[in-house]
Amino acid sequence: MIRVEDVLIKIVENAIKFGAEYADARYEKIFSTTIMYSNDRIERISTGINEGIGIRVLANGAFSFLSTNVIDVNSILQQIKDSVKSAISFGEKRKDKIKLAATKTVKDKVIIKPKYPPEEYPLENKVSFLKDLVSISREKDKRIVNATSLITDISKYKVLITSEGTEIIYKQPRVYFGLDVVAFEAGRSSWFGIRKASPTGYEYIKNFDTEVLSNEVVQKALKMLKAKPAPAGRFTVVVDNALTGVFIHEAFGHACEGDAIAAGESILKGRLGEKIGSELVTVYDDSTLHEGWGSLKYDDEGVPTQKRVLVEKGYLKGYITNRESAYKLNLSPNGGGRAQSYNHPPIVRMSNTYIVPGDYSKEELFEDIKYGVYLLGSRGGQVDISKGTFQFNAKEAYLIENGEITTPLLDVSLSGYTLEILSNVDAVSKDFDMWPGFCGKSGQSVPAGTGGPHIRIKNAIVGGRR
Amino acid sequence: MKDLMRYALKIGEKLGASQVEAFGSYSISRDIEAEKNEIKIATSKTFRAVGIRVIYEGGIGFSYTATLDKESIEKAVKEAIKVAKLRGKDPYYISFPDKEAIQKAQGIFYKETSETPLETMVQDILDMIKITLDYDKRITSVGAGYSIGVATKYITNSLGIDLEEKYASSSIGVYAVAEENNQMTSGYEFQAERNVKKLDIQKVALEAAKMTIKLLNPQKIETRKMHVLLKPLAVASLLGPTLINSLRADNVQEKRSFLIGKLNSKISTDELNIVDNALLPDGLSSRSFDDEGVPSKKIYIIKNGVLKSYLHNSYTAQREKIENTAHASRRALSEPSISPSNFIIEHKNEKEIDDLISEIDKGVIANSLIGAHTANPVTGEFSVALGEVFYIESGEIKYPVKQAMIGSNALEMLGKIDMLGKDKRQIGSVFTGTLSFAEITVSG
Repeated sequence: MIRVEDVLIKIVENAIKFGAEYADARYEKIFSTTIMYSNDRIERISTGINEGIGIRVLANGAFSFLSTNVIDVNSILQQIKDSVKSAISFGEKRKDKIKLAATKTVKDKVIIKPKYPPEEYPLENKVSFLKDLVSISREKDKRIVNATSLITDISKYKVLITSEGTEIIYKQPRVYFGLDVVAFEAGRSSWFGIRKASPTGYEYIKNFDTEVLSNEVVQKALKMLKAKPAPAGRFTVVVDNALTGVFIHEAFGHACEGDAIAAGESILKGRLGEKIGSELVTVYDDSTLHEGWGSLKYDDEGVPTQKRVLVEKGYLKGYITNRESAYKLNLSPNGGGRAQSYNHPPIVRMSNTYIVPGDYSKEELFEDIKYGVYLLGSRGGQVDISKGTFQFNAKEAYLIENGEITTPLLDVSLSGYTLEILSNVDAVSKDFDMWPGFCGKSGQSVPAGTGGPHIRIKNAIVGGRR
Repeated sequence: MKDLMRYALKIGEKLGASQVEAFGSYSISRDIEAEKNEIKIATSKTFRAVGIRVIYEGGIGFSYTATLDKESIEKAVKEAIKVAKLRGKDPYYISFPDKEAIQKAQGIFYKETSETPLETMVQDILDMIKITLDYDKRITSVGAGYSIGVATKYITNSLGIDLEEKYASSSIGVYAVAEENNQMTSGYEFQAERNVKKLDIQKVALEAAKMTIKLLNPQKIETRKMHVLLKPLAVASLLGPTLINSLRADNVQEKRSFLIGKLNSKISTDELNIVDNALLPDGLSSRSFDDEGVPSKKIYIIKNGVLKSYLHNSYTAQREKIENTAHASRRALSEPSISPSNFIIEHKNEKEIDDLISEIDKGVIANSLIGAHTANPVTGEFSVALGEVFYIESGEIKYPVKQAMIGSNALEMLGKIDMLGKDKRQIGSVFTGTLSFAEITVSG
């Protein structure tokens, strides 16, 4: 039996022999299960194994990447030869050659051993957990016309070999589950759901009481049956922990990504050290959080990760970098190069992004608001980093009237302008929580954690219809 | 691939499955990306996998493998049978689709596309960058991309279906950033075609450059009701998570749709038709048969404002005991889902885009939506920011808008469509011109 490491070493050695200045090869074997349980049956189920190799070469100052799941070493070596050749020819056209910032060589093996690995935990048990969530939810109230639960697990084994001598073996499990319910009454429907996730094994789901979870989701959905359209225009808003995370991820995090900065595409380029927000705002992107959803010890370029300070007391302090953007920006690579899987090259990504808690109590945030909106939970958001326009959506919203939380509102989003919005944050609470999500960029989706305290934002644009 | 798929059928039947189906896909893609006015990376990807479905004692099982050898196939078949046992007898599903006569879709594969030389792609990218930069000195950074793909899908089942079809795709895109007075903006344009010869690098680069420059120096607008004109990209991104999601028969049957019970009732203005035509020549979503091997059809989804059909695959059709509309869609790594093919929007009140704008007293025209994926898929409620927006007054485009949002409901929006532009193009599945919606609250 040939070791995967030896195959990858042979590949990168050949790439160098063919004329590359640098090469890395990543092998991944991904075991995954996805199950969706709707009302009274397993609606969708998928289990299987996907393995393949992704190889990136840098030659004559240009990159070439190839991925395949047809693992035939001789054919791959032939393709690598072409790959290096094409990089060399593009390099001829480049005025500014791509170079990689230096990083130390790493030899390490990171095997995360969960108590119940996804590939070993019985399918029956996964299904019965989902069935419980659904049947409890449906029994709660006649108005619940659909309950759908879902689970996706992954056990990913990866090997990274670089031509500089880095060798990292990494094994990472993940479990992600959710519950959505649809309530219907008098011609109106509402939909509410939750998502929970952990970079561990199935021991994670044992932390949850299915009764409590189902009840929470059902009660929220029923409450939303009474929701009214949101007001349109500019208001003072209070945003909960989950939504604060998505807000900072969209409003700010993406614009701090080193590739966009180096390409001159981000509105935050050239602003390091500038005051861009209120002194109440400090933002970290921390890949080292214990059991953080977006945590990782090394990125997919083999660079050790770290806790990055993006904003400190309102001043822009740092960017997220991979080796390429770090070189261009004359910074150190800080472990931001991540790839969705073997068939994508690593690009600059966030990990766990959050606003640091402040001094206010949560209640104090509402006290002075005559008329505003309280937004909770998130279904995601999006940003245009060159224009600085971003949107983020709440799962649940209420009017705030004279400091009191009143009428529930139909689906509401906020929008803002990156260079202004952090100056409008005028109160930050003490409480703190993190949430799991997936972040999409350039066709790649990676796990990203987001979170923070409750915050109050003045003059935010609310997308309503009254 | 086909031999392994037939092997899966043999093994599955031997192990006691009453029916077996194997779905294979084999794709090769090549892609060049430029960033900050220079070519950055060339990518080439090969991926193949087989998904196996079985009916075992009335239960449906599924598993996949991306490693293609006899041993892995056998393992996947066994796993699929295990899943079928776990699931138990299905109350609705009787059989995988039968073999039927297939009408060939035209213009889905072009040899020229699959054989595009790398040097041509490189030169085209460099030309697009140059055209964009030369358009205006304020354009400081240009990104560009060029992709070519060839995909083959294979379907074989115990009922005699044994099909394969090859598809080609090509696309180009340009993203430009402009700066003036310490302010930044960006614009972009792209084109996707089955036939690579139809790609127009000159036009795409110029449109991206023009849009970018026009967006400089945006102004604020007041919150009020006005006309909202959504260009094709914005229409497609709005309809995907709302209308299209709720048209899926699986969502209707599972009560996750706002179109439950609305069949044959009015859901839009009389002038609106939506046709789903999987046989549209050169259509980006055209195919001779769907992902379960069922022959493609052309059907009305909405006719004169009335909902005429949901989108079905073999499961949802058998569940309701009605004709399958052939909208099964899948990757090899999952069971068949449902998606539209070429989803064509038609309207009796169709106008040249300039004439359409000239009729607007007060309104905005937006190229894209920011955050459309956050729409509520079950109720159709959404709240999104508009992207690349211009303010229209007295029939003329006045200035770019700094920020604008709309919040509404997909059904409410369908009832407010008053005009369709002739600027038609296909974005993913959706084939449309600019759609005009009357009386929408825009937050500014």
